[in-house]
Amino acid sequence: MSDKKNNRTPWLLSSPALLAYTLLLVVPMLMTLVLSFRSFQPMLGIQDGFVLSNYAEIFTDVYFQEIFLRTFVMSMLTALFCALLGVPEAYILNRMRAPWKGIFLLMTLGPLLISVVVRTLGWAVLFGREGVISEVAQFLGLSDGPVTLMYTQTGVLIALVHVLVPFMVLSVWASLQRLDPETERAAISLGASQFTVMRRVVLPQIIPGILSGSVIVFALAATAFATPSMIGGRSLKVVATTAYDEFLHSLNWPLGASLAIVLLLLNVVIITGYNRFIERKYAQVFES
Amino acid sequence: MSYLKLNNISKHFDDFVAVDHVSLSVTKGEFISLLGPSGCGKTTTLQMIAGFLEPTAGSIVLDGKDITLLKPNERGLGIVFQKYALFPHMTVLENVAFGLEMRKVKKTERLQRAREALELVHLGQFIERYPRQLSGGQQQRVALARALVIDPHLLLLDEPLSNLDAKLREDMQLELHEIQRRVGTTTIMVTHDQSEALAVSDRVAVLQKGRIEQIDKPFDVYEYPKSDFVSSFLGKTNAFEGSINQGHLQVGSQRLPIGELNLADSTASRFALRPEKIRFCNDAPKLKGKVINRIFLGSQWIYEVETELGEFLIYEANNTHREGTAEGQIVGLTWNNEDLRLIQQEPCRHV
Repeated sequence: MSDKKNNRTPWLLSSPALLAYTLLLVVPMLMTLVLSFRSFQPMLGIQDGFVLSNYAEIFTDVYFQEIFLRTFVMSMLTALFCALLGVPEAYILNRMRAPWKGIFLLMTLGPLLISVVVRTLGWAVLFGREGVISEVAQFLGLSDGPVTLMYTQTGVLIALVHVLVPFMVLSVWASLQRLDPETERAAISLGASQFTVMRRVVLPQIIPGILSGSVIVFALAATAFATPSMIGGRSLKVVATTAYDEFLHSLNWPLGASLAIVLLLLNVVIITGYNRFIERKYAQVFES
Repeated sequence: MSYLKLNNISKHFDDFVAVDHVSLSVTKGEFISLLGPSGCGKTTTLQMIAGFLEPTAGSIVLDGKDITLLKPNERGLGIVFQKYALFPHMTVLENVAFGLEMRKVKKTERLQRAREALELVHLGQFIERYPRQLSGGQQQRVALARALVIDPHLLLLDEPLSNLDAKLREDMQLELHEIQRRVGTTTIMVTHDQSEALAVSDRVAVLQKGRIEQIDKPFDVYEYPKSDFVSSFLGKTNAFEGSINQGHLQVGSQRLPIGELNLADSTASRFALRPEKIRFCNDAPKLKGKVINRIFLGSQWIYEVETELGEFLIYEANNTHREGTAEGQIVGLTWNNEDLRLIQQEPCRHV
């Protein structure tokens, strides 16, 4: 009797959260999934029935293929640059002394407290034809006419890296906390130079942090909407902005839904595959 | 001929003086322990020898060469860290071979030498494992092999056994002693454990407040402590005040013959007497007292005896075939006068 009661208690206690989770996530996702199999006619709107034409269109149309390719290349580059910036940043932060460590950590993570839209708008101000970058380049004679990074791949990449680098810093920071600083001293005492210590002792130990940080950054970059839509705009579409346009401009909800589903599935496949690879390769670095 | 020489080295951290004019001379092949309570400056001294800290004053000379300002990776010293500091992402063999790799030793040779070093510490069968798959004692041995394989000028041990449990620590003490004798590397060990220092070293340097209080062979440090601190830090001691008067020791109302000790007359001196030097006796006791507490440790009994000179601690070996002296019993105590130590009031400042 009491056993049965005990069995039910955890479910009872977690039911509000489960209910919210089901209502807010599972139901809309299932509805999107169902929607993606509906057909769409410009005059008549969404039609009942079960068709695969939306998916067929995504997989055969070069237009969509290019968008998917752009999204994933951009996400990979974002993860790469975040690693290149974030790893040294986290390492330097970790070696700072008492008051500065806290101040600089706050400065690094502070942008997370500001809306992505605001941060991206900041970049838009810098990137524009009359923006700071353009003016400075002309003033220094680096360019004859105004330069703009708006609506370019580079511009979107810069803004995405800026927005997402704190996640990399956090992830690397966490694995640096587990690193025994004495191992660095041990390597030095054995004759290693500072550079060798970094390459052979520190880096291999924080690789799990770098890899999991890049998973987070990749996933966030691949699904990012605000930054690519504000900097990239219509001329540089990614999957998220394309799905948005299908929903709100073409009103082709089924196609937008299929785009969202394909993005989700690709993301899941890439991330789980990558995770499994990390776990297998770096099993000995993770604490058992 | 001294191999390692510390000339008046000091280390100040802002206002705090961690090491205060320490001089030490070590001969080649010697095993020296720096012994003291935490905060006595022993680890700071070791770090200055290792090169991780720069002395505020003084110089360090190794094999005739001044190394005071040499970088730690150019000193060629083997260091065993307190928490071993093995590289978790490398196998045991790779860990040990790392130092040789830094010295650009060819791969086949370095693996061969790493294997030999692991054989030396009896870990030959674990070379492909990762550090986290080993026990604390085994990790300790890997750290020792890693430090020894580079043929270091000096072996520095930073509290090497403090993370092991008591039984394992005793075994490792014997083994450390044996390996150091065999390899013959000049070794400096930092420890706060007096029995460890006595067990393995050729000479023990007792530090307090950044200074060396005494440096001597283990037997001499224990038997002839030069200061109150040394006598109470190494082992237990019964200390009491007294004065010397015409060949007699006057303590309170007691007047004890000191016979052959031949001390000059003085007032208010401090004496120390080791617990294991005191015996129970029935006739002609030097002191009488009442047993107020006793503890059985297997190999020996520990008694607390209330006497006129204060509480006395007495160790009695468990070889009398009886169950010790009961609590509450009045007992007579005696000792040989040559076991009585006169303690200098002021610790000797420079050794």
